[in-house]
Amino acid sequence: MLRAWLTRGMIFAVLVLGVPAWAFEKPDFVVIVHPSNPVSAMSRLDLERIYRKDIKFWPDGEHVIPINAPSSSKVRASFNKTVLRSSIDALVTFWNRKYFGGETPPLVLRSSDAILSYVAQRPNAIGYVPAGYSIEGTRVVPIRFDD
Amino acid sequence: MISLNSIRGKLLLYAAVILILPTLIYGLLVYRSARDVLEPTIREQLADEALRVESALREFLIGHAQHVRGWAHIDIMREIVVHDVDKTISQFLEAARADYGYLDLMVFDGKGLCRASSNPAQLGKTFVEIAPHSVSSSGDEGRIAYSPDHAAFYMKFVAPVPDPDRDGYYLGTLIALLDRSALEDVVNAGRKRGLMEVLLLDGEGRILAGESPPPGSQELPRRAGYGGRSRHISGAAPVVYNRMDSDGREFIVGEVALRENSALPKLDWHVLAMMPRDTALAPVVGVRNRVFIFGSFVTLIGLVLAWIISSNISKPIKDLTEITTRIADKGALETIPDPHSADEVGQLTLSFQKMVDKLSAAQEELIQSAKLAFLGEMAAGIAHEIRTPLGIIKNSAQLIERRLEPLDDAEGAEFARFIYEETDRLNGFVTDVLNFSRPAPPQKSEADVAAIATRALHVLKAEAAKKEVTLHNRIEGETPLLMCDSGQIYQVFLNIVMNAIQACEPGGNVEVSATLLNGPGERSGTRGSSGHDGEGGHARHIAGNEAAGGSGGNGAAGDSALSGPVLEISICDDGPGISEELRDTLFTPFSSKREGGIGLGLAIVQRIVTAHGGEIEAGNRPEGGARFRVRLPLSG
Repeated sequence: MLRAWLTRGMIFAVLVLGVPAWAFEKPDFVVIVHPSNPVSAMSRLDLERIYRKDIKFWPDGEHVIPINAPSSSKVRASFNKTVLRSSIDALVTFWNRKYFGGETPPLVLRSSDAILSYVAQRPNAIGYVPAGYSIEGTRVVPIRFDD
Repeated sequence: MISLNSIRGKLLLYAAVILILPTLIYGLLVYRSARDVLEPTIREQLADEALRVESALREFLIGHAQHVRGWAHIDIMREIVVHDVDKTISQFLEAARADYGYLDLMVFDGKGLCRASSNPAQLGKTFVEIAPHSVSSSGDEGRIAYSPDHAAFYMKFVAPVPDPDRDGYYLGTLIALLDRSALEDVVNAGRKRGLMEVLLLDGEGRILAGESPPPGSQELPRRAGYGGRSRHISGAAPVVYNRMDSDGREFIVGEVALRENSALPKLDWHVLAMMPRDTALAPVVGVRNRVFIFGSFVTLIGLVLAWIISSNISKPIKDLTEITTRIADKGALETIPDPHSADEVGQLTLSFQKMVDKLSAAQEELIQSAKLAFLGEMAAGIAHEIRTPLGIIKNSAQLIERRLEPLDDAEGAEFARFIYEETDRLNGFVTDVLNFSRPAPPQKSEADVAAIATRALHVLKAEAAKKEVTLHNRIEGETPLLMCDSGQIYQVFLNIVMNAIQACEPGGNVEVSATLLNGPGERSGTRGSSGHDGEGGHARHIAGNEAAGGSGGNGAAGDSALSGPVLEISICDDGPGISEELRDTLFTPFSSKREGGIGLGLAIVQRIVTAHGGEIEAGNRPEGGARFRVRLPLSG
């Protein structure tokens, strides 16, 4: 009963207080790394900083190679929304600025298979594929959406 | 100063004309021929070069236009929709820029905002020169414009970026900015043109390539006078023409318009390959100048040679002229020196020598004739006046002798005989003078010379015996009959032999001989006169020294002029010979140095021989003694 109330309370709170939608949205992708990668889990903020190329190295000193899905894919849109929490326009502006400073955006691979295959071969790569996709040869890194 | 009327002046003038004229004509012919060959070749080269550069340029432009169009179609252009958030296009453009040497490659979206670029600074900006939604070639494509951003001139290639997902829709426009220097590289590629200049001009006469704009300039340079011309050139065939530059220099220009191509916008561009005409023809001018220099050198040498030759020719003529002028002015017949050469001038000198000799001889004869004429006149007068008293004296002396005979006055009779004998001698003298001054023309008939000689020697035998001189008559056998006046020829024998007897010492010998000669060539070692022309002319007397073989003669010797069969009568003695001083006056009347002689004997001999068309020669024999040779033509 209490649980039911709590649920109702939260729904109410969301409706009334306007809690952001992503706070409740379950990500429909998984982040994958090479099986040998020692990182067991990471925060959303770290992941965002990796994809904005603010973090460039793994804790062991290896270069991080972030892989993006094509800009027109659903999983990319979902990733932008839940991890980067930015619109396309904001990202364009961000990357135009970064590009001017000599920084290029993460590598884009055209399909999830390509991303899987790339990550499976590169110990320092990190990517994402739609949830439920076979992740053979890679390892899922849980993301903590605790911020 | 050399007069043109002189031989030297004329020769120099002819040499100059003969040398300079061909040199000039040859130089001009060489120049014109070489120019006629070279100029078309250069025009062809210019046309070829313009065409070659145009082809290279067209391929280059088509290549770039095709690149840009190709890039506009690649898949990643879809990213324009998401404003190239992943910089996929930008990175591609940057790689392409680096590879192909563009100034910049940019992609604009439908709103005219730069969404991807090889130059990040351009992102999000508009490109003012591109009209929004401009998707096809715009009119300014054929223009080279200045970009302040790049501080460079560029050429723009524009390609629409089609939307692969929607037919007929476009995502944006790809613009490539190519540095103008790339055109420069094409125009200058494979340059082995030497002095050839190649320019790429647009329709307004601006130089797109071939001459770089000054640093910092935002305007392309122009070539004055060529823009307007360019408008008249169309079609693919190159046109070659001559054009004066603004500074008055003439250029040969090969021009061709850039051919149209579907991959390219319509470009009013022209390629000009040009060369200053004087530079193009410089090798020909060089050849011409060398011909002229060589010709001048040859002319100079020719003139020097002409100078030397003309000196050689004119000097003897001048010398001769001076001598003849002196002769004309002073009347003295001086000796003309022997010529130095046997050429025409030498012949002329010899002729002058002969002429002067003849003049001298004629002068001598004139003097002699004058003497004789005077003598003749005087003799005629004296003879009449003397002969009458002489006759009376002789008769009186004979009467006295006759009257003294009975008285036995031997001494008186002897005196009387002296008187009439001397009277006879005087009478003989008067006769001689008369004979000489009024010579009778020879009464010719055929006569035997041997008989005449024998008679004369016989008459002189007593005189010879008195002087103890032996006479030898060597005229033996038959001598041919001679047409002559036998009395006069008898006189000749008498006078010469008498002279010889007088010259001989006691015990001496006088020898008379005769030889028949068939022509003048038969005589060897004889010295005769030239210039004799037969009867009516004069016989030349020659007095020479035969001992010297003819070379020691008096210099006026020559071969006999007699022709046909000639009888040569030779009278020799072994006396002292003819002395040098006597030689010249031997035949001159009244010149005898002999005691008792009056000097008419040999003068009469010469006159008779001359009247017979013969010649007489006096000289000394090699073995000593005098020799007289009388040559008489058989025909008289």
